[in-house]
Amino acid sequence: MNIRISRLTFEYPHRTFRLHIPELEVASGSRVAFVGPSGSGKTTLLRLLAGIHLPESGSLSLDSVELPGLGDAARRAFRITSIGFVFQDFQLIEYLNVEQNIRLPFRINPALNWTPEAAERAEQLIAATGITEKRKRGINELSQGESQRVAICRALVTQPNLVLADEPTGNLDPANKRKILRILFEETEKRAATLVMVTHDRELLEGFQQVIDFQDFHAE
Amino acid sequence: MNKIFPLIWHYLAHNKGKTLTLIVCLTAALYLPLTVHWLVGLLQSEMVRRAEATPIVIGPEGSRFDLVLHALSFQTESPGTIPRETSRRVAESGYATPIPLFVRYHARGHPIVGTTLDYFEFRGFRVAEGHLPTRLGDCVVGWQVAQRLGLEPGDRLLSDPEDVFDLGGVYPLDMRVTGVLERSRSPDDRAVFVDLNTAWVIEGIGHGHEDLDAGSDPESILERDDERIIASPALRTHTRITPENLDSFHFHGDPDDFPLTAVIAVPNDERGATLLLGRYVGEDSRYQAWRPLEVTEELLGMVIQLKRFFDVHHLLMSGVVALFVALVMLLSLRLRRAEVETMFHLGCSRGTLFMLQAAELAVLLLISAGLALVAAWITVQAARTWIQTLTG
Repeated sequence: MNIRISRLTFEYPHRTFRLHIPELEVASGSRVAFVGPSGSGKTTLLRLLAGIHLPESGSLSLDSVELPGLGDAARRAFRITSIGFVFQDFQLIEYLNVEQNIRLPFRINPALNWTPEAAERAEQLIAATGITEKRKRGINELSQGESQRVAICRALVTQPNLVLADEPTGNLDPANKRKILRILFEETEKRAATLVMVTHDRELLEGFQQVIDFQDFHAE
Repeated sequence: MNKIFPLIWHYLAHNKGKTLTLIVCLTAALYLPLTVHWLVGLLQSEMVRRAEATPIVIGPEGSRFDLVLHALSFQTESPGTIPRETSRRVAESGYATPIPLFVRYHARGHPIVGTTLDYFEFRGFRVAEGHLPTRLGDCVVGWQVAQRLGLEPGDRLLSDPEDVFDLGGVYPLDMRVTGVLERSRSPDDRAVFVDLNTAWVIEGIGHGHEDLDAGSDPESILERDDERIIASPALRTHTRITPENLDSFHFHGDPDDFPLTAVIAVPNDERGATLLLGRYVGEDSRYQAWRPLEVTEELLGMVIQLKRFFDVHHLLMSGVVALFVALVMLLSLRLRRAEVETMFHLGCSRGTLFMLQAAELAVLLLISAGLALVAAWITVQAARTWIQTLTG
C-alpha cells in the first residue's frame, strides 16, 4: 500500500502541538521508520494513517483512497481490512487470553471471518513469535515482551496491506528487539505489505528503506 | 451476535464479583413481585375454588368473614354458636339440605370438625384407609393429620384440653381413629372429623360415667333419696368410649338447643337458595346467611388492594435496582474506556460496541430472570400445599 501525504496539518484540541507535513510519499511494500524526539508527532501521524484521527487540512491517501474523504463507517471498514496497528501500550483486552486477543479483530468486525486459513495463520504467528506455551494464559500473566508479541500477532493476523507499529520494540531486550523486527519484516515482506514503524532506537534502522525524521517537519 | 457472545461471556466470567452482584440484585428485584403475583393468584384461585364448592353458610351474627372462613377452612373461630334447631329448620324448609358443623376443639393442634355423614358425601371424601366413624368416640383424620401425627386406623387420638389449669373444665376425649381420608388438597386435609355427638361429648354436653344406681363407689354419691341421686365431683367420668361403657353415655338438655358453629346449606335449586337467604335478611338478626363466594370475593378485594400496595412497592424497588444497575454499567463503561477505545481503534463500529453493552445487560437480565422464575416457581410449589390446606 503506498502512502501519499500533501500539505497535511493536524492539531489536538486545547493543545499547542501542531503537526505540519508538506509532502511525504511511501512506496508500496516498503519499510519506513519514523524517528524523532518525543512529542514530535510520530504517533499522531500513525493515527492519522490509521484513520483514527482526521487531518485539519491537506491530503492523505492510501493506495489512492483519500482517507479524510471517507465517512466514519467507510474509514473504519478500510482500517479493518487494510491496516494492522501495533499500539505502543499494546492495548490488549484484559479478560481475554492470548489466543482470544489475537482473534479479537474477527470477533468485533462483521467483515472478517474466522476461517480455517485465519486460524492457521494465527497458529503460525503464535509459533513464529514464540508464545505457543502462553496461548491460554491471561494477559496479566505475560511479560511486557510477551504482551508486545501478542499485539503484533493481532495486528498481522488479518493480513493487512499496511502495518503501523508504534515503538513495538520499546520494552524489549536487544535479542527480543531483533526477533520482533525480523517477524515484522518477514510477515510484511511475505505479503508485500508496507511497514511504518515508530522507533527511538537508531540501531534498528538498518533494515528500513526509508527513515523519516520528524524534526524535519514543522511541529510546534 | 454469535461473534460477540464469547466476548460477553469472557467478560462476565472474568469479573465474577460484579457479575454476581448484578445477578443477585436483578434476581431479587424480579423474584419478589413475581412470587407475590403468583402466590396471590394461587391464593385467589384456591379460596374461590373452596367458596364455589360451598353454596350457603348460615351462622350466628357477627363478622361474615369470620363465619365464612370458619365454615370453609376451620381456621378462624366462629362468631358464636347457633342452636341445632337452625339446621332442623333448614331441612324442614325444603329449600336445602343442611350440613351442621361444630368446630371448637382441637386434637394436637388440628381442628376437630363435628358434623354428619352428609359432609363427607358433600365434599366427595374417599377413605384411603379404614372406614368412616361408626360409633361415638370414633374419628377419621385428614391426610395431612395422618402424615404429621403418624396415625393409622386403630390408633388413638386425644382431644386437646381447653385449659390445663382448669380441673373442672372439659375433659379431653380419647378418640379411636377409624380411617384416614384421601388427600383432598384442602383444609379438610388438616382436620379431624367426628360425629356431632362425639363433638358434643368433648363439649361436655354428653358424657358417660359409672353407674350410680349400682353404687360401686360411695364417695361418688353426694346425696341419694327415693327419687334422685346427686353425684359428687369425685364421680369418675369416662374419657375413653369403649363398647363396655358406650351405653353409659347420655346427653343432657334439649337436642334442639345443642350448639353448632355453622350450617352449610346445599340448596335444591337456585330458587331454594334465594328463598333460604331471604329468610335471614333482617328477619332474624341473631343469624346470618351468606354465599361464601360473594364474601370471599369481597375478602379477595382487600387482598388485591394489599397486593396493589406491594406492586407499587416493588415498582419503586425495581426502579431503584434499575438505577443501581445503570450506575454500575455506567461506572463499568468508564472503567472499560481503554477497552472500548482499543476495540474502536481495531475497527469496531459504534453499533457493535453498543450491542456488546446491550447484550451483556441482556445476558445478565436473562440469567436473573431465569433464576427468579425458578426460585419463584419453587417458592410457589412449596407454598402450594400450605395455601391449599389453609384456604382451598
